[in-house]
Amino acid sequence: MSLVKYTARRGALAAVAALVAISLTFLVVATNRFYPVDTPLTQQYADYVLGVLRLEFGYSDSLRRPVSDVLVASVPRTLAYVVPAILFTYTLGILGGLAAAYGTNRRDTAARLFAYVMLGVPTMVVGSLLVYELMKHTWWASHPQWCTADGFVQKCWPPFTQQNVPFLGATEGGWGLRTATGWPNTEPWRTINHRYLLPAAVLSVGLATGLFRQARRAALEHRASSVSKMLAAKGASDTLDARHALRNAALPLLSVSFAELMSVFTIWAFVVEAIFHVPGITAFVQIAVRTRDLPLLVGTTVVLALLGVALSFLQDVLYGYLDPEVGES
Amino acid sequence: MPSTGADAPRFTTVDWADEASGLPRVQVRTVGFVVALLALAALFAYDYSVSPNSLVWSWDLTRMDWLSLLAGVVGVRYGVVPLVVDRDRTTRYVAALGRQPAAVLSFAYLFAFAVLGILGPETFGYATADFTRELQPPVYTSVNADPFVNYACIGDMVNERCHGTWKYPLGTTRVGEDVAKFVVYGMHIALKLALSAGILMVLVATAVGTAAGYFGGWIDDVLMWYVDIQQTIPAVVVYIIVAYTFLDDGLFTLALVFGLFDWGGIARLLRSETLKRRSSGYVRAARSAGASHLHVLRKHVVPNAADTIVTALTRQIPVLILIQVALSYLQLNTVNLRSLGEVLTRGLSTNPVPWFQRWWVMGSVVVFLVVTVVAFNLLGDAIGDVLDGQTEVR
Repeated sequence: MSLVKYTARRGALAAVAALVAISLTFLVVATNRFYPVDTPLTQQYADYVLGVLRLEFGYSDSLRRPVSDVLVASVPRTLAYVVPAILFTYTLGILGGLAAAYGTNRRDTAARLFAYVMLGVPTMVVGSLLVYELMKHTWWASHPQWCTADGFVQKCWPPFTQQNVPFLGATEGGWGLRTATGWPNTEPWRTINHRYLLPAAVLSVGLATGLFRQARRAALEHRASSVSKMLAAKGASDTLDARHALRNAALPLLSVSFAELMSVFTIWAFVVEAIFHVPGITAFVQIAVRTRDLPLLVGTTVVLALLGVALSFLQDVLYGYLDPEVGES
Repeated sequence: MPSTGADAPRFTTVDWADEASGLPRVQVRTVGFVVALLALAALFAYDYSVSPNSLVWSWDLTRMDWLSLLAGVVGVRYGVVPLVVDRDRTTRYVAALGRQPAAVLSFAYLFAFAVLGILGPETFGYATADFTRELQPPVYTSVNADPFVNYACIGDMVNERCHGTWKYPLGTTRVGEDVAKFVVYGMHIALKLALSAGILMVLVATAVGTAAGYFGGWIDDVLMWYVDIQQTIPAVVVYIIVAYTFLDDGLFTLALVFGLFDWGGIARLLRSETLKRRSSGYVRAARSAGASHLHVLRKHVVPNAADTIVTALTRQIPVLILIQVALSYLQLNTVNLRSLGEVLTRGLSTNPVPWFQRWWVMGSVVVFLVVTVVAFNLLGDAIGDVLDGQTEVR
């Protein structure tokens, strides 16, 4: 199968997946109407799918603007930390796995334990502690929790909302350094900047373990193979041997790990946006849930699902590029 | 490193009467399984129609409890019963696992976790607020009592430092709730979720994965296409949609959605495992002796994939527990009482004193999660090493 044909097939699959995602959200829309609709269901469905393709998701009552405007603003912000996070995760996991496999037994055990411990520490703890530390030194970090203080009484709200009203700006009294329990602010994250590397790093900490495990196992398998023995006999260093291990492990690493990462990735993205106050897609999902804003909920979740589809497609293409069987005729 | 030493050949006894009988013999375990399911159904019918408010005394079961009970029955039938019946194999596994201290420790911890999860909340009670015992430190530690207002130390006060007591081994929160009780309740929640979502996942993944690998052809294509599509849509997103438009944001929804939508990885592993077994000698022998596809799948393919299933579960379950904690931290998932995510929220807040002056609230939850995740993963590693194709059921 040539690479072009392979890509076309995976593209078709991605298109079907996208259509399934859109259809499922249509189901949600069609079953949650407050008003009767006269047009037949097939017509509604066609209109809905075409609307999504034209990026028309209706009007968000809680934010008082079209959902597509919200999405256009928020998708780049989410991508701004998701893409570096994926790169960080792969680098961290693969290097860690190789270091463990090529290390002494003791170092291997230590690395394995460390990786499992890092998987267990919830991202909100890592993120919150980091933000507390940053609050002492920078002007732009604000309290990771969404709390308001009325005299001595402190009340904490779900992220990005207060009394079920979306909340994205700063309140009186400021935030960050000046008041320790001020209402958090999304202002520093409105434009994409270098700070986005921080949530990316926090996100990758909890994700690298799965990759670490697979990279380690693949490298161990490689070390037990005769190829590795031959390389060692010819005087190759561990680094060179590890390169061979990595090239052979690239395919299983790509195919299994990404799907495994997906659901964990999404939940930690929710947490990271809440803690750093990034007004990305998951922030608006949370707003939609609190304000019972159906168009916003549908728009944001469709885009989240489509992002998942797009990332899987990219992974498939990369797989095809690396797989020696694809491209042979 | 995987073991490299060759194992001595083992001779297993085969119950030929069981294998060769023409009529399908009814086994005790099948009868027991059906009776248990019927009893559960009868109880449910009774609870649903006769006394909706309580089953026995004041014990009322939620739909999550029913799902967990059902999952428990299935788990006992396909997890515990085979181990008890095939004592020969079980002793071999135990001996092999016993050689690895990490595996023994992990297993002991997970056993305690399961027992505490089932019996703990009723035995030790639920955490309640009590302002006379706020902010007690854990046992063997002490805390500087200076920043606290209206503070009463239950243990000894030495040099302005309050020392913890065994009465509250993990300390108390700022309103005097016992943190140990929170952790035990967290175990209860985690166990219910792990059991019900885990069993659902295994059932669906086994059916799909083995069918795809065994039959191949268009069945394989269609099923794997479905898995591909399902895996591109994150289960968390499905959960949020379902929770806020169709069901509620309870544990039941979470278990159902993850059980039915997050099994793609396990199915894929099982498929490749089945592909390897499909052309093996014992499968071909069974087929040429006239065994049906269903018989081969049930007796030869699925039992041999047990290690794959168990190892995959030891990876999936800790992640599921973490996802529940994260969702309840974001207030997107609610349980009857305080869930660990809420305890984390309070432990991390700066009210009334920064988190590090009452580190035990957050610390207990983090330690519990870390130990649970590490135990599951180490046990998974050990099981993978022990069962990895070493003891095939032929």
